[in-house]
Parts: sequence; C-alpha cells; structure tokens
Amino acid sequence: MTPDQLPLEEFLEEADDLIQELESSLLELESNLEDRSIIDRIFRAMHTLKGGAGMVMQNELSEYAHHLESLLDQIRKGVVGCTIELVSTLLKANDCIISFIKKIRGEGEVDEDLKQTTLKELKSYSNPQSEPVVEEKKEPPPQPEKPVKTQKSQKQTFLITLRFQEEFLKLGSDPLLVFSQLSELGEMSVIPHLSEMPDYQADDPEKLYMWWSIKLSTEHGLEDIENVLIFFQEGNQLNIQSIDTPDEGQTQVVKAHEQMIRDAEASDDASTEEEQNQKPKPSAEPTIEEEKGEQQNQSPPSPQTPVPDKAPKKVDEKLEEVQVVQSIRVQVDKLDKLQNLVGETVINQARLMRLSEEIAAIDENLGEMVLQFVEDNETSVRELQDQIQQVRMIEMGSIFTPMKRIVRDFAVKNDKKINLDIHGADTELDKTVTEQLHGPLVHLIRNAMDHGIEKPQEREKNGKESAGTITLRASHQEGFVIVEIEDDGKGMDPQKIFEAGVRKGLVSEGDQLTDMEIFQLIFQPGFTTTTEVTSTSGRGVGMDSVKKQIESLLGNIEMQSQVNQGTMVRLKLPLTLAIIEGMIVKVGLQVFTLPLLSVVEALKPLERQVKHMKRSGELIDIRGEFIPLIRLHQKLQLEDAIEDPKEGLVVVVQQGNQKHCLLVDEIIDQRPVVIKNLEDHFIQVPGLAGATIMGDGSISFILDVSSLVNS
Amino acid sequence: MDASQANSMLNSFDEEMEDFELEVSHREGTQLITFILGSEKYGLKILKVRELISYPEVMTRIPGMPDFIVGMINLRGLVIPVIDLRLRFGMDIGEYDKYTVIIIVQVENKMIGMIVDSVADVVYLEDEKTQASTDISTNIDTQFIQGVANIRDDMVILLDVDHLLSEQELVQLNN
Repeated sequence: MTPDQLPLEEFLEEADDLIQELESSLLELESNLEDRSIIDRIFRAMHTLKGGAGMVMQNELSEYAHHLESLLDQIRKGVVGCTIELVSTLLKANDCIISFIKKIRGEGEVDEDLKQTTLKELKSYSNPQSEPVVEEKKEPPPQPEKPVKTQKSQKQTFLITLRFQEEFLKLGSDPLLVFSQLSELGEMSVIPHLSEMPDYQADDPEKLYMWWSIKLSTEHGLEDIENVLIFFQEGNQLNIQSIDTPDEGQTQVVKAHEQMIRDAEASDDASTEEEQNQKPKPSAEPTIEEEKGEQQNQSPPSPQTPVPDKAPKKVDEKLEEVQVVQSIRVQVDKLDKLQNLVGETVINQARLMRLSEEIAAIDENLGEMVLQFVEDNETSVRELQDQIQQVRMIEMGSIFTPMKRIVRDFAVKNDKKINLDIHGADTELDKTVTEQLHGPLVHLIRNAMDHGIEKPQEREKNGKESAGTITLRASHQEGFVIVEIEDDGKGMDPQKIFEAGVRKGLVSEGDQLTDMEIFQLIFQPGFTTTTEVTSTSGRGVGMDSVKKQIESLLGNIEMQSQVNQGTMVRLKLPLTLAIIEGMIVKVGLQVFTLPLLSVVEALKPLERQVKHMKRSGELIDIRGEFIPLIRLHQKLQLEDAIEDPKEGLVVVVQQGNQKHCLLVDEIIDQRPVVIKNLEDHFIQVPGLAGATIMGDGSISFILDVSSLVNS
Repeated sequence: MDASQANSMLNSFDEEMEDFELEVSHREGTQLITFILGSEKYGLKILKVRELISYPEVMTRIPGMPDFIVGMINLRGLVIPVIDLRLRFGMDIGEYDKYTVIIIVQVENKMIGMIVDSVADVVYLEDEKTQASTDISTNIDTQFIQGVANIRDDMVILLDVDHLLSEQELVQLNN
C-alpha cells in the first residue's frame, strides 16, 4: 500500500464496519420501530459514512448518504414516522451503499437501478414541510480542501536529500516507493550516491548504503512533499530544501543546506564510531529534518545554524496523534509473515532439541546445560506461537451476524417465518478461516431455509410452531472449532436419498448402506433430491462444493437428519490454517504428515481382522466395522514400503461420515506442524494438501486425506 | 541573496546529474544471466532470477510427478519445487556435480528452481541484437525460446521463462 492510498484504504475499512453496523441496527429497528436510541445509532453511522466519503472525494457516495442522512434526521426529530416499509427501503439503500464501496474497490459497479428506486422511495417518505433543500445548502458534501491550496502555489524547485537508515530495507520499506510518489508531484531528477558503499566483502545485502539527492520541480507545496515522506520520518535523515521561494529566511536556508551537507559528510566518516558510542550526532536540524527515536532526545540542534522551523512542528503533531491510538489496524499479510516467522522458530526449536540430545550423548554435562536452556526456550516459543495466534483470532459473530439479514430477506420473499438463533458468536477463530467460512455458511443456511423449513401452514399441520428456527452454534472442542447449523424443518428421508442416489448411479439398488453412509451421498457432485430449481438452492451443485471448501480449510463436514425433526450439519475446523496438529508417518523412504483432525485411531491389525472382499477390495474389521484399506505406498507410487498390513500399521481416518484405513510403515511423531502451501509455487499435487519442514530441515508432505481416499 | 547561491546549488546538481547519466548510458539493454545446458549457452532475464544455489543435500521427491520435476527443496523455510531443465527439454540426464546450479526463478511471487549444468556470466543484451527463434536450430523445443542473440561472439539462446512456467504448461505438468 502506498501512503497516498492510506486514507482511502482506511475509509474503506471503516465503511465496512459502518455498513455492518447499519445493517444490524436496521434489523434491530425493524422489530423496535419506536426505539430512538437505535435511530440515533443509525443516524450517526450514516453521518460518519457521509463525512468519510467526502474526505476521500467519493462525492457520489457522499451525496447519496446525504439524502439518507436527511431522512434519518427527520425520523430522529419525529417529523417522519418510522415504518416497516421505510426500514426495508433503508436496508435496500444499505445494499446500494455496498455497491458503491465495491465500485470504489474496483470490484464492481454502482447498482444504478437500486440507487434510483431507493432515492425515489426516500423522497416519498420525507416530509415536504421540512427543509431538505435548505439542508442541502447548509451541508453540502464536504469538499476536500487540498486542490484549492495547490492551485495557489506556483512552480517551485526543491532539493531533497534522502538518507535512509541502514536497516531501511530490513524494515520492509522500499526507497523506490518514495521516488515514485515524489515523481508524481512534478518533474524529478535523482542522483544516487554510492560513496558510502562498503567493501565488497563487508557488504551486507540486506542493508541500505546508498543515499540520494533529488531535484523536484513541482506546483505542489512543501506540505505535499512532506506528506509523501511522513511515513519515513522515523530514524531517517530526510531534508527538503526549497530553492527559489523569495523568502526572507532564504539566505539562512541555503546556508543551512550547505552546512547540512558538510555535516552529513562529516558525520558519515564518523558514523561507525558514532553509532558505537551512542554520541549525539553533530548534524544540524535544518528545515524539516526529523530524527526520531532515541537520538532525538539526545541531539540538541546545533547552535551554529539558526533554522526557520515551521514544518517540523506539524510533523510532530501527526506523529503524536498516532501514538495515542490504542489499537491499530494491521494488514493481514503482515500478520501472515509474522506467523510464518514464528512457524520457522517452532521448527528451529525442534531442531535445537534434537541437537541438544546429540550433544548430551557426547558430553553429558554440556548436554544437560544446553538441554536446560532449550527447554526454557521452548516455553517462550510456545507462548509466542499462542500469542501470535491470538492476534489473528476474530469472533465468529462477524460472519454470523450478516446471516440475520439473509434469513430475514429470504423469509419475507418466500412467505416463511424463520427465526435465527445464534449461540457462541464470541467463539474465536483464525481470521482467514473465518472469512473463508462465510460462503459455505451462507450455502448451508440457504439450504436449511429452502429445503428444511416448511411453510407456516404445513408446519402447523404437523403440529409445529408456525415459525421455524435455524440454530447457528459455534464452540471450541478439543482444540478444534465446531460449527453447527441446525433446523427444525422437515428433515431428510434416507430412503428418498438412497433412491435419488440410485437414479444418479452413485449406488446400486442392492447396496446395503447405513443412514450415515446414505447422508454421505449428499456430498457427491451433482447430487440433488429436489426436482424443481429455486433461485436460492436446489441446483445440485450445492453440498459437494461446500464439502470441498470445508476440506480446503482442512476441516470436516458431517450431516444428520431425521424426518419431520430437522437436519443438522456439523463442521469441524482447525483453529488456524498456518499450524495444524499432525501425525508424522513413514511410508517407504519418505516421511508424510497426516492432519490429526482426520485421524480416528491407529492400530496394528491381526491376521483375522484383514478381510478380502471381491467387490470392495481389502477391508479391516475394527470392532465389527468393516473399513476399506488403502495402501499409501500404492497410491503414492513409493518403493521399499511395508506391504503387509500385519507388519505395518493402519491409521484410521475419517472424512465426513466415511472412514478409511491407511497403511503406513510406522508412526514417527505427533506434533504441531507449520503448513506450507504447494500451490504457492506452481505445483499442485493431487493427494497432497501442502508441505511442512521437519526438525532436520527435510520436507514432509501433508496428505490430503479426502482426495486420497476418493481418487 | 542570494539568487546566485541558489543558482550555484542548482548548477552543481545539474552537473552531477549529467555525469551520472553519462555513466549509466554505457549500460543499456536488458541484463541477462547466462548458463550452460549441454553444449549450448542460454540466457535468462536477470530480473526473473531470485538467487542461485548449488544442488542441495536433501531433495524430497514428489509422488506421482513426471521425471523432470526433481522434487522440492527447503530454501530457508520456503518449500520450492525444482525442475531439471535438461529433462524438461528432452535432453539426456546430466550428472549433478559441484558446478551444478539451481537457478531460483521468481515469476509473480511464485518460485521454482531450475537445475542447469553451470552458470556462465552476467551480460547486457541490446534489444536490436536479438534474432527471432525461427532462424535457428537447437536441441530444445523452440516454443520456450524468445530468440537468439550474439553477445561477445557467443550465441546465447534466450529462454522465455514466463512461457516455460505458464499456466498451460503447468497444467500439463500437473497431469
């Protein structure tokens, strides 16, 4: 993100929050039409949105929000009465705002039809007696002030010196970014200075040794240049020198500049020594030079340079503002990087542990000491891992709450009465997992509303309450997150599903399936029992895609249903995508990782447990349950593996309602592993969900149980 | 004043700028890294190259992949696939020795390692010196070749990495 996109990006993030608040407040208002506090809340959110849109020059949105705000103001003052229809219009208007935001993000267009209809409807509500016209004059969409300023100023030349700290690149900053920003302001020429480059041998490729002088001819003022540099003030030496402003202090300015160059040169030579001694720099602080960090307190402005200082104060103020903030927005990819690094640390910790055991074998005393240290370190590393994970966790309420609107709209449109009960909205889950859960969740709820919940008359006939209930439940269990979507609708008849399965050719008539296995058919591609296709669901592409998405999150999906009682879908998800609990197994010469989430048990089968069936191939009899055997070495085409199940081990894995036995040579370990995506780098391998790095630096592939057993 | 002082500052800047531009003008064209495969020299845009490493101790084979995908390596925590360019181009398999180099190529954040016999040099290629690939005969499939250039009296075959690593190629690669 470039600095000048920051305000817009900030606005968009804020807008997302506001839209969500508007929506939940509107839904609340719908059942409490007279509640002033809700109306106030809606008004405030709309006002903030309008103002924000104006600030980032989104005038179309600002204007639209203004109309809404005016109407809300009238409702607030009691001039206009609040009705169900009005709330409906406001909800539609909120959708329209969403389309505005999408457009600003470059992801779509403004829904013009919706905009026109809502505007028309808004007009019909607003009281002609009150003064929308006056209002508009009184409060035009805020015009940004910047252009006015820049028009006033004429073309000026600035000499800019950029000396970033050596750690600049390590901090993730990029000088090129600064240049591209500056070049947008006007005509620019840059001279790179290599004088500080160290010897070839001493060169640290991660350090920045170059500095630059820049000549910039621009119509923009000093302030705009400062704005580009504001994010780099800390720890760097940045100088901006205005050259041809006829100004009283100019002689001083120029002198200061020359002095500055001399000082800078002097301080260069001494810089190494200086850093070691933590001696205050003898450099001057002319114009806007800013030195933040420790040195700021220590270095007094040098006495021989009287400095006209109007700019630095402003910069200071801005920086201080930032420091007051108690929570910060962080880009998710920064967290991803951080989490990856922590992952590396976890791996290295495992490596250290091995190493210290080796040391102990050679020198017991030394080994003991090292081991002690490594164990201490382990505690910190675990803590670090937990903490970073905590940071990434968000409450599931963020995806549960929008479901209210979906349920409401559906119920209104389809003459059904549906309540949505939400439990455990404060259950926390990794942000990425939570976001990717949204699609499947919408799908499952639509299914429940469309195929599950009956029309009120039908419900009454069956002795149920006329309003159906969908329950959305989230909870933590055994280190996983369980999400349940349950309805009290008509349920599914296993017999009918079986028949549909036969029609689709998924099973044959004579097959004996348990109810569990029958429900599993629903997850097969192209499966559907409904004959008619509705706009909401029933195209038969549903559940298999839900299953795929859940499995891509390394989760598991199960379904239970009883006729006339309802249906429940249960999702089991890992807390995070970055680190999973893994079972490390050996097959032939290679080591693989199985997600523990799919593992039920592991055992060494006895002779009598191994059965051969003509149709189903090899089965393992585990306490009366016959589970098909998959030889991993065959699936993965590996040599030198154990081929007799009695000599190796079978790991029982479960995907959905299905179980399989995987034949492996041995189980090596069970521990958290850091997932590395394979698709990141060109290659997708069927049967592999990713890779992880072992304690000795070697790579172990994480097996994708679902695609392994289905291929 | 001091208009003159300001002017002298500007002048000295401009002079310095001229020197700098003169210096830069000597290095025009595209920078290539050249490497050897069999008896031929190949060139690759240096901006595509992330780093060069020698053949590692541990190479993890990927089950069910064609021969030319040699396996995956752990590059400081990144798991990266490695292909053998000799095998990719249908040449005989070479021996991996101390000259063997894996060129880590980066295209749009994705990385892949390419095993080559050895790395030769870094050179500048002036655009007009390139010939179309149809004019030449070489051992490898011309679809991965952008053209041929004569650089310091050496024939260098220019490799089209983007195409080599294109979606279509990789789909085939995955099948």
